[in-house]
Amino acid sequence: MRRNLLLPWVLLAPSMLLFAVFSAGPIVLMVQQSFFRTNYILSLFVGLKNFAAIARDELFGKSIVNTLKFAAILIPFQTLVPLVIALVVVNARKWLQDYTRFAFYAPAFASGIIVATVWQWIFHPTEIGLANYLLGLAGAEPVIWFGRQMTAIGAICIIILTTYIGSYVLIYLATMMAISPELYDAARVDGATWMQVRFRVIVPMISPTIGLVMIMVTISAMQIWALVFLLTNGGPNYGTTTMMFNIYEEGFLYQRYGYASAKSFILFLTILALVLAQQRFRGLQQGFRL
Amino acid sequence: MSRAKYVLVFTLTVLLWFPLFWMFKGSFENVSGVLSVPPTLVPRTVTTANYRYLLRAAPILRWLGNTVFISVVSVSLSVSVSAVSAYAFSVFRFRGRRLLFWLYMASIMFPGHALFVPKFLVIRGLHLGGTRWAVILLYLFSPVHIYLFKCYLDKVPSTIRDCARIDGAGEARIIFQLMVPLCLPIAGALALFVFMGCLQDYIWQYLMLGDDAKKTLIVGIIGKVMREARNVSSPNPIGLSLAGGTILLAPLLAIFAVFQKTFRRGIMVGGVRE
Repeated sequence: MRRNLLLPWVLLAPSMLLFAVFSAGPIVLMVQQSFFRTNYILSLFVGLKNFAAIARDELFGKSIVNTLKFAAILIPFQTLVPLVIALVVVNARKWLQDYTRFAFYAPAFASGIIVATVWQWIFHPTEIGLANYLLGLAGAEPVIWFGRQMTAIGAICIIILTTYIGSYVLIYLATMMAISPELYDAARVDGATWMQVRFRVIVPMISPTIGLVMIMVTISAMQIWALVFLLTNGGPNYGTTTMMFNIYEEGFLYQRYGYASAKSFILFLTILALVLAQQRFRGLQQGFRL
Repeated sequence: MSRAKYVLVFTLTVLLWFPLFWMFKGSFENVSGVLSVPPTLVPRTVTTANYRYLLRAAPILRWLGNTVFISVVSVSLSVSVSAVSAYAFSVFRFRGRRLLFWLYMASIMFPGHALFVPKFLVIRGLHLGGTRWAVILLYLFSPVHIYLFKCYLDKVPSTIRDCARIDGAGEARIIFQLMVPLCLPIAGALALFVFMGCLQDYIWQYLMLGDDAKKTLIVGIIGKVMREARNVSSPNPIGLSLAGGTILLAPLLAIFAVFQKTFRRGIMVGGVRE
């Protein structure tokens, strides 16, 4: 271990500069701008007026409810479905594990935006859309997927789930692999069944990872924007306007930077509260110990 | 139980891959093909018209050039920044080391996209709005990569460095002749992650690059096919969307197939994007 006073700071200068300007700086700026009315030309201190306006902003209230609807679907599904898949596949024959790793992880590289190019046609409102064609085979009427809030949220969630679920399966599998095989053998010698090995041995062992996945999923679910922007533009009747989408409109379309910053601040605090509420934060700190 | 295992895995494979297959298949079809009811799993006629139309109607090569430029600069700068920071954290003991490392790791949990308005204000304050440098700068600092690089360096025994020092090597010589060759594997893996990020990210590139000449492949193609979808006189809006999607997807899947192991090793901390 070297003791050198100057060199480490020289080496850290680039990352510290980037951290200050693009990571910490924007948070400070966001808080500061929350108290200003800023547009392209002027910047005026207005105290708490932005927050008073937000309290009266019905669309933002609606966007909070919509965001929570997305989160209520995505958080349990993205945390638990991959866990179940991983629990089934773990300890399977090697070729099945290798196969699972490739087949489930590769689609996650597609990114939701890219697959939206095909999903928007699968969810076409007439029977040229595959989803409606299949419904037709089952004897159901065509559904105007992006015409009602429930189906629009459902369709966007399906796109996100089918795209990213595989990467969470891989995270779970990687952690399960780290469990010592002796533990399984010991459990089996003691007469544990297939179910007991999974729910009494594996799940408790990987609970920090479950917490970590839940946090990652929460953070991304609360920031849904791009798919909404491309597929529904916030509609129908603002039914898919998420907090991020609303902030995008305020900040970029109407250029009310101060007002948008105040809303970002609220979103930031909401995410922070949700993450802290999931008490597993501890697990993450352990993971990144110096 | 063992049969259920195979059923589950293969059903899920079909579910996850089907949209990708559908995109690929439809991209080679003409209008009557993509509109056909009932839809067919194998295209009736195969045509490259969608791809040819896209190449003609949009400055694809220019967008590709922008993507290459942004990727090359981001990869080289980002890996260098991560490398020197990790080296400082791993090799030196200095005041504030713990605090700074904690701050970096905490910033992993910052909801990045929620901060896009203030980030945009920062970029505008630097007079970089609308330039490719705006995108690049936002990609450079990645605490997860600093962490991965530091873990790698921590495993290099310090005796190697001490031996070199006893033999009279200075700090610069130790870094360039000893550490750089040792770190090529991790640097390569991180370069790959940054590169994939450049190809996948839509949000920052969309928000920062409005000018058609500055657009990247993903922003340009997505914008173009979405406009075509609303354009009544477009020859084959569905086929064009699917061709655009395939152009964006093919390189990602190819890179993944080649470097599968690297991505798998990196997934625990670095592989998941929102």
